[in-house]
Amino acid sequence: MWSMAFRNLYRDRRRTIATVIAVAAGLFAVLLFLGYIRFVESSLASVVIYRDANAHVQVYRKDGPEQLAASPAQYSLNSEEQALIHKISADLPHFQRASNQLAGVGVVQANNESAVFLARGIDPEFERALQEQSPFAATPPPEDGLLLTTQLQDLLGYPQKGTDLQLFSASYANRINAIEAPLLGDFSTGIEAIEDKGLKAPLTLLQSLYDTDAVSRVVIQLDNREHSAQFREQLAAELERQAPGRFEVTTWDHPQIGQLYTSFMGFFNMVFAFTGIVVFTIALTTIQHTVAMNVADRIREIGMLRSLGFGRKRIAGLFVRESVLTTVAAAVVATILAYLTIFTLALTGVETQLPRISEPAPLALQLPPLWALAAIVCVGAGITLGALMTARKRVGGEVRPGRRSVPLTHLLAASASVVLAVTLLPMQPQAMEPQVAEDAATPSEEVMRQWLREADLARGGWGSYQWKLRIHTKDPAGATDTNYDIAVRDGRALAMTTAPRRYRGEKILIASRAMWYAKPGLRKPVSISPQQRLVGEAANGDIASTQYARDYTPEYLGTEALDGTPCYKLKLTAATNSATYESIIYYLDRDSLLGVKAEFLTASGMPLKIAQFEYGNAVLVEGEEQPFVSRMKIVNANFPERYSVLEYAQVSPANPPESLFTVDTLMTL
Amino acid sequence: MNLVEFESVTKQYRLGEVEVTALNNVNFTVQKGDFVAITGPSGSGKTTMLNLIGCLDSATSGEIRVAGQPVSQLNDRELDILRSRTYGIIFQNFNLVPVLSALENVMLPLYLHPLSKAEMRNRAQAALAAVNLTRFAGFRPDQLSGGQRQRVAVARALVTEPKLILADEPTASLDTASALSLVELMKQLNTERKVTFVFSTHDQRLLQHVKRVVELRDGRLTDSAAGAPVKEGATQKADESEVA
Ligand SMILES: Nc1ncnc2c1ncn2[C@@H]1O[C@H](COP(=O)(O)OP(=O)(O)OP(=O)(O)O)[C@@H](O)[C@H]1O
Ligand SMILES: [Mg+2]
Repeated sequence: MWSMAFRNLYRDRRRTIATVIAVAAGLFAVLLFLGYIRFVESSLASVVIYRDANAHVQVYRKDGPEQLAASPAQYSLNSEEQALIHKISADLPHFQRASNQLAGVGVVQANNESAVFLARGIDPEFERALQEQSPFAATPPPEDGLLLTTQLQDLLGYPQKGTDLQLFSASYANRINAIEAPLLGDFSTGIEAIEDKGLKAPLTLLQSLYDTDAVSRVVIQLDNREHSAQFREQLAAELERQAPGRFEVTTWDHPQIGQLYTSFMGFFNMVFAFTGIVVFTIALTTIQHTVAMNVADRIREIGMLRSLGFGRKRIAGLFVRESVLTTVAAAVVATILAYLTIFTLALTGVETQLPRISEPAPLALQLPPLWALAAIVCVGAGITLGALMTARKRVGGEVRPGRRSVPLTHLLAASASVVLAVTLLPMQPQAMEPQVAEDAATPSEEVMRQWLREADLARGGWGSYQWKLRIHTKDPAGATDTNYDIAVRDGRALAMTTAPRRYRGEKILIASRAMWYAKPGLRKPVSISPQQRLVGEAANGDIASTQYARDYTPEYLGTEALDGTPCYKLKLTAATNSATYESIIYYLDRDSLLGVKAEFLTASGMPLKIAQFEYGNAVLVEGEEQPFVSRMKIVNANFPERYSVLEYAQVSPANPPESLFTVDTLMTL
Repeated sequence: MNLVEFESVTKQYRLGEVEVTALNNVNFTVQKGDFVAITGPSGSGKTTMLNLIGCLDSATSGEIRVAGQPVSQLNDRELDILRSRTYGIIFQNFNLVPVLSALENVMLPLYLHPLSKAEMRNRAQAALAAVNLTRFAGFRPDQLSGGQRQRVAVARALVTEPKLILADEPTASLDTASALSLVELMKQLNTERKVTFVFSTHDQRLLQHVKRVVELRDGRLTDSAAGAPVKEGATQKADESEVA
């Protein structure tokens, strides 16, 4: 039967050739597209694995991939855990090398410009080893300095290569810290969303910024990415055995890590499926049409075969065999053409732009024979099934040699419909601002500002004082204490760290509108903002110099009793950008006009922190005793287990010199 | 015993509104060893009758029995099997598969029998030998003359050793000499191998060589045909084969 089918192909050569060409063209398209997808796939994979230095397998603290950005300290790995991971992974098959990595955020400054950065600290030696395997050129890892994306450099006004940049951020112990390091060059994060924040630093340098020996994750390079999943399983099982519930092991294609890979492959696979279906439909229709035409042409022969006793299925089988042979011929042609094309492309060195990878890459389509075979078998099987259905349908019917007429074959129109889902963004009805009832008792703005001035006075906002401040901070990572000497003069303040010992010499200067941070080892003071975290829940602006009367516009919200104390309730809105908070709901004791409670809100009105004040201190000002703040407790509004307590002691009037409050003298103190 | 029996068989074709009665109340039998020619003018129902005998079509009314079995009770598959076991068929225009050689054409019906390739080949060669075409085994139909092609068709019909060979105007596409030699061949096979033949023809020259002639007119058997004038020989032959 096969040889008969084969010989039948020669009966109408033009039809056979046309069919072979049509199917081959379809298969060729599928094969090339498959090769392209595989090329993109492997390119993206090697970008994620090698160029972006994620390696193959990553070990985090449990839930680390999701939580690290929000709580880096809490979800980091300590040195003991690092050692355990290194030891276990090194004993598993396919292991090549492992390395620690640290991720963190902060602010980088240069040329008086500052910008937020997202940094990755990588061991340069490890990164170099990875880069050797990468098909994409990458900047050599920074040995003793920083690489910044060009977008981030742009935000900083393109500082010269070699100039020192200042990085500052909260340490893992939740206190402000800063370092200096030279800008060495550019790199790309490969992720558009964070490209304007990308910063790369040697691991140890970044660890010194966060003042920790903890790391965010340990990454492991294997000999081949095929082994990633299996390695992950083994490592996770062993880690779970030794430290149940402590670690999370991921592979490079985890959505949080290989974001670039997963999102694009999802998209590409969809496009491939769509194209595949269209091409397949065309090939199938061609074959079905050919079968129908062949049946029509050979209706006599079919009748003869049937009268010899050949069953309908058997005869249909003959036509199916013919279409199988046609498909095989087409497959051979398509495969040869596809490989020739791939070879030619490789030889001519055509370059292409890969999605979200800034540099062009040589277009090297990848079509492993097994993949090509699988694609052909899939398409071939589908076509054969279609041919079988057509043949059965056409060959069927009454047996009558040479008499029956066959209805004209219809060419099935190939139609692939794309359903475009249009997402309509319904207009969000604007929430109406609740109108505050203006009653007769509403005080004028002038009166309210006077109240605020009174309240500021008791918090060191005006006048000249000195005191000792102790900030006790508690969060799930632990508790810390930091002590400062504070000097204040008419809204300007200088804070000097006195304990712990290793932070001694740190200074924060609040000079009316600007704030500066300095510490031994930094050549220049770092400009900081009052909104930034100082320690725990305390922002820089909380430390001293509370001048709500100057920085905010008050609005009267009525009266409210707090713990039985009648209070004025004011809404303060930031009037200058040197204000520490966007807006504050401030409760003032109606009798003493002391600030009792403050709710700090974000720009959108979400509660950020809640502060409560106690006034156990007293100072003599111009012979008059006046209450002074003794305790301020700031609680995170969303995570009440995170709080800082500021304790004020030894408050006394003082007369610090003007020179104490200038940047120029900050470094010489 | 009766190989084929027609009992009041009527066959009507419906062409839109018009109804054509191709066979009208026909009673007819074929016995083992018969050599029957069906004759009659064009449109008289010869082909229709052969199709019914060969189970290629079904009667509108009446009953057809093949080897005693009513064919109306058989399903598609059983009919396929019956056809491949019982009949050899020769067509007017030979109906050879153009892409197959003479030998392969003859082998074709054997694919439906559980035989090895070698056995199939041997039997096909024997069948070709029986029609004197051994030399042409490797030729394709378009390399053969009309007479040779029809002999290939005869060999193909013979090869399964059918109980009955049906032939619809087997000589219509042949010149007189070839036609005569084909009928001679058929007669020879009938006498030497006891192969039963039923064929249609309207070629009067051939009829003198035929033992039993059945004449159709407007779908009815004429009296002379129903009377089966030349019956002795046939029964004699049938008896002989039964004894054997
Ligand atoms: N498939 C069909 N559909 C409709 N009518 C048919 C069909 N086959 C045969 N007929 C009609 O039945 C009648 C008998 O036809 P049949 O082919 O049996 O005659 P025939 O004796 O073989 O004629 P010829 O000598 O021309 O071959 C004719 O009137 C013919 O038109
Ligand atoms: Mg006829």
